[in-house]
Amino acid sequence: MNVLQRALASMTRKKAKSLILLIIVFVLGNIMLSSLVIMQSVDSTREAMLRELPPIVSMQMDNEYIQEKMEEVDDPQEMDIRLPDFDELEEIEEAGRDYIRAYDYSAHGSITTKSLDYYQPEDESTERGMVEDSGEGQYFTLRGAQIPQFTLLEVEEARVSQGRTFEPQEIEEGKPVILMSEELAEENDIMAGDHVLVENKWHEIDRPGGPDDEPELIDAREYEFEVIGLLDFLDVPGEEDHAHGMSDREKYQTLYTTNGFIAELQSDSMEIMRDELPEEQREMMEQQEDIVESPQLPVNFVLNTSEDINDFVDSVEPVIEQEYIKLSTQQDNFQQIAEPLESMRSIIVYSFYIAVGSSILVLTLVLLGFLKDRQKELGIYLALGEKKKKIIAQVVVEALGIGLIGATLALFTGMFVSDSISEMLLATQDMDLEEVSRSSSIMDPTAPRFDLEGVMEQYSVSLSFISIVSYYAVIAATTVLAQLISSTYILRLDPKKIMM
Amino acid sequence: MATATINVNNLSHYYQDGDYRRYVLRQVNCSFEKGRFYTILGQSGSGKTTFMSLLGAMDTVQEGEIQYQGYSHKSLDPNSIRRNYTGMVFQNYNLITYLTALENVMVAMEVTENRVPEDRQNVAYNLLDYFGLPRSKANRLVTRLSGGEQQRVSIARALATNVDVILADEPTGNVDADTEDEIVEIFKALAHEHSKCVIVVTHSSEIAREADVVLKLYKGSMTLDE
Ligand SMILES: Nc1ncnc2c1ncn2[C@@H]1O[C@H](COP(=O)(O)OP(=O)(O)OP(=O)(O)O)[C@@H](O)[C@H]1O
Ligand SMILES: [Mg+2]
Repeated sequence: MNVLQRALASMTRKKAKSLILLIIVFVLGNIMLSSLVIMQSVDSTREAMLRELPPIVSMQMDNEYIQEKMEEVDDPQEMDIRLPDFDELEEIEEAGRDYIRAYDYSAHGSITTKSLDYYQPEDESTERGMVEDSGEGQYFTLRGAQIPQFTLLEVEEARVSQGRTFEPQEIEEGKPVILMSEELAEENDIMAGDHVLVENKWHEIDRPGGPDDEPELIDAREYEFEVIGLLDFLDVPGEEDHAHGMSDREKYQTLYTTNGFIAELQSDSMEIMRDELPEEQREMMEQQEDIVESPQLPVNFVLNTSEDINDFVDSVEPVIEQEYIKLSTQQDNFQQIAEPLESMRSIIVYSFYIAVGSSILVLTLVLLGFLKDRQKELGIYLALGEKKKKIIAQVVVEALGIGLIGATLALFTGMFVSDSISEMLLATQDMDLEEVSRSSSIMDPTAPRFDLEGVMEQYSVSLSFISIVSYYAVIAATTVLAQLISSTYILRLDPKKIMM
Repeated sequence: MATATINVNNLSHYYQDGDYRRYVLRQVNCSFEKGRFYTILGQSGSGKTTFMSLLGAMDTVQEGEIQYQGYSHKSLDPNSIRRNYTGMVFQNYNLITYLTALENVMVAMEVTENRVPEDRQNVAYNLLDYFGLPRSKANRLVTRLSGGEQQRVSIARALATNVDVILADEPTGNVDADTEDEIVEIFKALAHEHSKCVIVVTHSSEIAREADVVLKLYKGSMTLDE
């Protein structure tokens, strides 16, 4: 009769004790398992959702943080809000080199021209229409690209329906090549491959005679664009929930070109405007020129896979020196949009720890009771000269054996329990979430691309091999720990008192 | 003189009564040999159980020394004395209730570091059979055996570890007269046929009459009763 045989005999022959322990572990097992299942279900839902999203991390101004700081600091001027320059961008690129496929940022620019007409969506009333032609020409936004598969394409917000996207060489040389929406092209009878002559006009900023006064034309230059492709904007899931603002309409009116060309256009305008400006403002302008030395935020890092997002953020974050810059990912959005799920998860995490803690307590007390009941038997082992560690090993094996059986039984019921707990918890959550505002920039790839409904549809109770293993590990650790704590009783036993 | 199986030198033992040490054993000197059946007599409270618990390493020696085959108790781990040198038989049997008679015997065989035969199960069966417990009873839970049978199981258990010394503290206290006779016969046989050193504490002068050596414990001193 070695330790194992003794343990087995004790487990199978002292049925009442075994049964009590089994029931306790079964109940605790259900609690622990459903906690684990819910945690894992939320995690795998999140993972599944994020996997389908573009593998992009966006470096942006942390506006919320800036806002917070502004309120704390006496003089907001003292805050050193600076954009990362190209050197720093290089450093960041170096730090995240293993994960980055490419990065893109988009310079902003504009032209005012009479050569192109606005596209007016049919269902929109003209009252809400953009700008009436005031005679100055229409104002068009320009957005630059740094890579051929620029962010808009990468996040599948648009696809090239006609023609092609930029060639790397065109980007490098800052060629005046553009992509525009199909709608805008149609409005202007433009096809991919067409060359468009655009006259950009500069007007005086100050209107001496008030806002009604016609601003004076300063200069006009002609640029020849080649329209290399047309863009078909796709429906983005989750978009319909969020306000269609300016941004949504603006995307149809925007001309997408190379960052290099926008830089060229900017230096042209700088040149023209400088001559027109009074002395003091000219200085300010020169300062502004520095901005050109920094990439326009957001800088979007396109990673190899979306699984790299966390690793990338971890390795790049230490390199970013500006405290007002943040890296934002779709993960953050999930946290926000799927809030009911996320808060359910955190409730469950807490209750999991509480469950484990109280399990250890309850089991310790129960097992201690059992040991006291077995005092005589333990005394006999001691009188026979059995080593205390072997006696402890026996009772640990017993508790562990029954613990694992209880855990296995709970495995079958725990799935149902967790299913109904999920339902219960989600039902009590307030599902009418505040609308998470969609970022105003169409080029922001980290704008949420899913909604709560979609997330909830994806949510299903699931149990992975890893969770089963960790579930068993937790139960095993809990029972072993409880038995070890209560076994301090064995150390204090005096065989003479028991036996003689 | 060859080394005695157990040698007790100047053994004293006290129980703390507040600040006062109440001595139960004073400078006890005696020795025990293999092949002999000893009984210890003494009034209730004279310190017989105390003495036996010290021999059986169930309590710590405070003053003096006990030698097991020439080895001082100081050089031995009390646990190893219990599993390798002495086997104890108690008044209330002290068997593990959820095990069968056979299993109780085999537990002791597992614990000891003494050489035990390979086919433990057979040896255990034979041992029990020798003490009047056939297989049918050997395979019973000990709770379903009579008091006398249980005491025989506990003797078999003490013997199964191949120790030289069998210590029994009032082993017949809970059994009837016939059973008492049978058990005494067993002890005699153990000493004489199996050359064990058998030390039995008893109140019964009848048992003492059967013994080779009778010791008397009186006022803390051990004296030989001729
Ligand atoms: N743990 C203890 N603490 C204090 N005193 C004790 C303890 N154990 C025994 N004694 C005392 O020591 C004395 C000897 O006790 P012991 O049990 O050895 O006597 P005994 O000869 O076995 O008596 P009995 O024949 O009644 O079994 C008694 O007076 C008893 O009260
Ligand atoms: Mg006594």
